[in-house]
Amino acid sequence: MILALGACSSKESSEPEQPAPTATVDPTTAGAITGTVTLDGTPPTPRPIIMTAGPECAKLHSTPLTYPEVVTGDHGALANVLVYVKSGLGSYRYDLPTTPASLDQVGCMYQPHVLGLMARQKLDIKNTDPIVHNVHPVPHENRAWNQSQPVGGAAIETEFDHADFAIPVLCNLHPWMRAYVFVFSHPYFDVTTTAGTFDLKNLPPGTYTIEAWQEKYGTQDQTVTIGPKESKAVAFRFSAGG
Amino acid sequence: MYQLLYAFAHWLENTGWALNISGSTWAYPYVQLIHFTGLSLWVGTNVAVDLHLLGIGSKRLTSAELNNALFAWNWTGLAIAVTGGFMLFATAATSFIINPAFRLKLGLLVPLGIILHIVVQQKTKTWGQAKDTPGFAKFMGGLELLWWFAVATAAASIPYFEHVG
Repeated sequence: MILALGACSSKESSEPEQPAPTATVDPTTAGAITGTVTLDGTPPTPRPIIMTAGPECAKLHSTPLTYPEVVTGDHGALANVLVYVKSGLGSYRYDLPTTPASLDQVGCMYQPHVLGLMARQKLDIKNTDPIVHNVHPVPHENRAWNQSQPVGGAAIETEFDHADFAIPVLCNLHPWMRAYVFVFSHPYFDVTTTAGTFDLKNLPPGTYTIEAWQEKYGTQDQTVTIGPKESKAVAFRFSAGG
Repeated sequence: MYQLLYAFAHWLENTGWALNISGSTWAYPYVQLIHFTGLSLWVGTNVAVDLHLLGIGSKRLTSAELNNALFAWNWTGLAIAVTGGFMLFATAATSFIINPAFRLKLGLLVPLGIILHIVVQQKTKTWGQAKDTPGFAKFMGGLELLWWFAVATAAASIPYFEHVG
């Protein structure tokens, strides 16, 4: 009975197995979608982080830190926006990046604040702080876990098996610490810097829905068609008014 | 021994319910509320009896009568505090077990404090018969007050020892 229940609850056993795609993107016809993300209006005043729950963290900063919900550069350029291909991709096999993605804890903040990586790509989570941290991802489609990371401890080497959207990564000792990790089944994603730019390279010709995700302002979609070796630029504009 | 403790802590903080508490915006504060409600009951009733043994407070009841009246609330408070405390511990167990202030609190001060409390509670049945308690009863009441103050100090010091470990 227990075995039967276990079999019924198994995702793998209830879904027909799809053959793994074998085709790869042809680099001679691949194009790119680049662009910018900006914020219209005056950015909200950053909220100061109160570090009373972590007095050792407070000692690391001479002035209070602020929540990095909305980070802008020159001319309204919006940083920490995850831009990715939401739909339109054919069935391709993508090689995993050979270098691991990296998430660090610096000054009791996760760096970077927003991170994209591929499913089964290695992720190194480091602690360069002189303080114990506690890494706790809260995924939607992957297994949740929680692990202490002592001072000077080795990096936590992990990976996510399945695509997942905006996984909050918390620290159970320092409640203000939060990063967002996005896991994709393809390599077409980028996170904007303070220049507000993104670059989705090596895209096969086609029509795509491109989505931009911002922590405070949500998501925006645009449909873009690119031909062989074509590069197109798109602009996302979020409004500070909501 | 430490390896065993670490393995238990790691297992505990990765149980489904512990991950749900620490991953939820609301669950953690409510668990804190449970812990501090229990502590208020436990320490509050301890302090009331200890102060009475010291001769402070209403004289309408003897220390023995007060001790008896608060007995159920007292142990209910500890049960609630331990339940909430265990749930809080479970959210970051491997981090807590390397924290010197936490080790001092839970490894030494709390167990000895409970033993001290049981002794005081039992002896108050005889010490507290008269309106004026004996000198040794006053000493023990004062000692227990200081002891729980030390426990609270160790608890409050936990975040200050995060650089160790």
